[in-house]
Amino acid sequence: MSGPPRRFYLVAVGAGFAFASMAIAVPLHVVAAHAQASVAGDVLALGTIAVAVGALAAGRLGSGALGVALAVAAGGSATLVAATSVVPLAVGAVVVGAGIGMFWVASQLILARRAGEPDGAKAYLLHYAAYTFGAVAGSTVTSALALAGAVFAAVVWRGCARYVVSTLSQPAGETRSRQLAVQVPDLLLVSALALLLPLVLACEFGLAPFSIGIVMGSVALAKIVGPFVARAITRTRAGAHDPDPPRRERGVLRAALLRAYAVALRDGAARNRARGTGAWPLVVDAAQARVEPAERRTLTVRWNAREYVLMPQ
Amino acid sequence: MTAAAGWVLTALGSAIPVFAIAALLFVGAAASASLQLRRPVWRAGD
Repeated sequence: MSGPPRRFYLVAVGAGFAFASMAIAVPLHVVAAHAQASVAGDVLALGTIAVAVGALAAGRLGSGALGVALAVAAGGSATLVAATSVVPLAVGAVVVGAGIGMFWVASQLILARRAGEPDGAKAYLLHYAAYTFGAVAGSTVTSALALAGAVFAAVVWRGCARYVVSTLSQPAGETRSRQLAVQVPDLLLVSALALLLPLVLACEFGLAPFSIGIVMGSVALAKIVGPFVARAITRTRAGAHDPDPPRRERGVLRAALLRAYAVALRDGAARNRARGTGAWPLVVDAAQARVEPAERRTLTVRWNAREYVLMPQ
Repeated sequence: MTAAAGWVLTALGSAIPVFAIAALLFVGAAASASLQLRRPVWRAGD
């Protein structure tokens, strides 16, 4: 089975660009509107909840889920561009968040087609790195360019519906508990990363603006490098030559997760949080590969909803 | 004790428990991932 086209990864760049721009634009709008700083936190929290809701909604969409997701994100970005007060700002953040929730589900359904195949994990890693690259770029611009990012992604994806997984009937034996079981490693990893966030914030707020820029830039770059570090581990670690494939896979994933914590002790929480996410695409691929394709749609929807309820940002 | 040393100890005192719990979660993630990977990959015809 062939992999997704290159434009699929370009779409991820555009989506990451739009979401990160929203996260930056909201505090700027709040400052411009002379509202309290806590309002920015409330609006961003609404946006995060909307991601979880968008992920749930995406499960009901058909073959055009990714196109719909990009259109919704573009609509939200347009609302942000036009916003002059807090209410339309919150509406824009919620709509962008919902679009990104749909985007993750639709994208992972496409990636899930090849979960467990030799290049399946590579596709997850590349997609996550592309999204993060877009987020790095989006962090430096305002909402007007966020709209450009969302529109760019929608135009690039146009006409590629054939790569979208069609709606499949659910297997009779499907249970929530089983799908929760395969997500346990992901939930533990996300919890660990979320736990370190207060340290990251304390670090940021205790530094001068220039230092904050350096820290945030390092975090963003590490998020891009992280997946490739995890991938490199799979190639260079001695265990990677283990003749037994399941044992080799276990060793590789265990090494990626433990390395994330080792880097934490060496470099501090901010970088660890970012590099730790390098193990995340491997965890998703491993879980998807262990359920039958008919079950991957509901698994993806619930996976993203649970994750964004747990993740504080 | 100098102010700097006190600041460092305070910072370590608040950070170490967080890192320790995060370590447990990371180890738990690694252990559960290992258990999960013992399950066979889905193949057509299974």
